[in-house]
Amino acid sequence: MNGTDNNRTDQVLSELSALIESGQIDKRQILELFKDKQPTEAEQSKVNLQTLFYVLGAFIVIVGIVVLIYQFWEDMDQIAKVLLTLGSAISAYSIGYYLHNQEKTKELSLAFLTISLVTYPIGIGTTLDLVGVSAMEMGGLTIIGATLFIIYFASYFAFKTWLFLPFVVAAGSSVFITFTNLLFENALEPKHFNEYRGLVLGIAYIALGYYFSLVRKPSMVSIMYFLGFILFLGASIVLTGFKPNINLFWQFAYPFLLVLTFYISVLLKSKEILIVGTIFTFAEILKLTSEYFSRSLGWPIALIIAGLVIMGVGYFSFEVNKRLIKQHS
Amino acid sequence: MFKKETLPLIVGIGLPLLLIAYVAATVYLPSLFNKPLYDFIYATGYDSRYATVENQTVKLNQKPSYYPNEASRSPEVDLYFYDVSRESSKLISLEEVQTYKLDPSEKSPDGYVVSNDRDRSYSFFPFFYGGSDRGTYLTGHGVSKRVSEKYYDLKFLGWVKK
Repeated sequence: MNGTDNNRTDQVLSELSALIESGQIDKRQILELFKDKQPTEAEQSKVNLQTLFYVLGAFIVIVGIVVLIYQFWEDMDQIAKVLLTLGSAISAYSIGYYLHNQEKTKELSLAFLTISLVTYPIGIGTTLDLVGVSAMEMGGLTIIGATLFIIYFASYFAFKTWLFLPFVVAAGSSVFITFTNLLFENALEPKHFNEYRGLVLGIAYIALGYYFSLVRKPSMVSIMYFLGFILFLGASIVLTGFKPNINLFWQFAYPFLLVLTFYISVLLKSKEILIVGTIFTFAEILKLTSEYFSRSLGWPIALIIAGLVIMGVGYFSFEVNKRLIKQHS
Repeated sequence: MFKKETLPLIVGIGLPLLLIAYVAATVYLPSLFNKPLYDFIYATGYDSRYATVENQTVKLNQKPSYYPNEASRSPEVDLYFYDVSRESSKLISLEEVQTYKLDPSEKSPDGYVVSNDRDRSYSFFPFFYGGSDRGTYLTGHGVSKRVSEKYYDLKFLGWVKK
């Protein structure tokens, strides 16, 4: 496609979005246009079965490599270790690259690329050990994370497949965590640094989830929202503190964050956010019950009340999903 | 023109980078402007509590005996000299340590303290596992330097008088 074609496509897509938003056109009408191009049920199940075999095969190969490494690790010298681990990663990557360029074997290439993505960290780690940098210390871990980030990020642009995106995010997060640890290696961490770091990572994941939804990468949206809200609410509930070390600001803010989470789940029509919000609401109810009511009311009564409230929240969450999320998505 | 999807991408990538910049600034900037001036002596080992400072000099007290007829025993203690200019510790003998005059005050004349960090904040492995931050630190004026990874059996004895 040339530049003019791209502009025309963008224009048509934006007009289509406007028509969908105004309700003048629905999903069924659009799908009608693809009727001839959609695979039949038999074709689809064949493709799914084929993918399943590829994934299963890749998993078995990864297990095989891990067992092989485990069995002979102690008897191998450092060069043999590098050849086995980094060698496996590079050869799987090369085979994946070759297969990806053939139209018929594109799906199969993903299996080989997955093998390489999983074995690269071990390969780079053993190579660092060979050149005298400890792969288990923060400096070594940061180098591994940064190298992986570059490989995965470049691969994403080279292959244009979403398979690399979770690995890009994981490698980026690992650099963030290990590098901040490295900065604090010889200095005292401020109090609650881990919680604030989790909070920042959570917000970053949520923002990236939203970004992926805008650029239409649906497979990444759910996972980013799910992990993002776990980190965000997890770090926040820890910041509220536990009796007697309660942080009043966070204790007061936390229920609002839960309400905000439910609101965002409806706004973005995300079941994952709703599930995480519900689980953390349960956690807050149990935490407050144990801290404030277990002594005055006694454990049995406090548990009965907590259980009833949890049932209420569960029902509310179920209704929100049924009426506001499922219906609109 | 600013695209709609650019803002979340900036937040997603920029926020962690901002935290890294903040950490680097809090760790390295204060130490550029503030340098501790006083070296100090500390003791480590299970028996470090038997090391004391009397009349500005380190003294190793005898351990009490467990049984009525047992003689009192010498404590097993390692003594270290921390050099603030090199930011490193050196193992030294009792004779050597007794050549120094010590100020056993908690705070050095230039306002630094040696303290143990026993508190650990919580972490959700593997998302934000913090590694080990336990240890003994020289802190003050925004500066913190790890003196030793030990924290439970390390006893600060005193600042070396100039």
